[in-house]
Amino acid sequence: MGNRTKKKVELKEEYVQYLSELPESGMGYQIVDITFKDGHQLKNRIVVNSQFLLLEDDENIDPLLIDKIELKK
Amino acid sequence: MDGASNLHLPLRPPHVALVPRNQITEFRVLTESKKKNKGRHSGGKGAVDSPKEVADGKELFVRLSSYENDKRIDFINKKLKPGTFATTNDDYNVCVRTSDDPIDRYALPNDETIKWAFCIQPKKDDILQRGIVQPAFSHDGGGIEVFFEYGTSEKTYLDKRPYGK
Repeated sequence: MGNRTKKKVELKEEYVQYLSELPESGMGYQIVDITFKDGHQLKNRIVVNSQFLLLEDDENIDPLLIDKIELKK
Repeated sequence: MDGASNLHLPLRPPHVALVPRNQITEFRVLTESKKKNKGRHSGGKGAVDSPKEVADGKELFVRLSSYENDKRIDFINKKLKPGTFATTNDDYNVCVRTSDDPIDRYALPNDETIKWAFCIQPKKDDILQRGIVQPAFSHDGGGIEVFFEYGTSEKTYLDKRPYGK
């Protein structure tokens, strides 16, 4: 969560539509849990503009492999 | 020191647990210069923890974004979608006038340049909550944040302009 511009990947349009109807966590971002089709999960991840998932420098994620995105309560 | 050596906690569960970084409530203290020179606020509550109030139909609010196609604005009906954050026009003006860093002031998670300011004028009786941006993502916060749980009425989105213009 440092002070720099992070890598990001664009989510599929269906998830963009889904997230843009759900509440934000702060101005311009939401905190989500992500489940991939193989069952792997990423928790407490940040999506900006309901559209881009922020990644760590050493991460590469194929958005087509995402099975489910849930808003963190 | 009698018995003091028996007072330690072992560094293993359940005495110690890993906490995700973004669940840590950051403790940061605003410098006096930021409070004085940048018009930042300290303490208080975030918007979602603040009481609901009704808009007066006159006050202006601004939503800052790196993206011209901000997904939280319904450009067809000219309104904010439910669950959207913004700031007050007054706080935005202070941020610009004092050359403050909006990323730090509004404790944003990504350091992408804020390029756009979307102007909103909620109608009388639109519901909002206003509070102080709490520290997060290694940023101090201290700006004013406003949460529109139910969004805003139609024709409340007025225009967009480049940040600072």
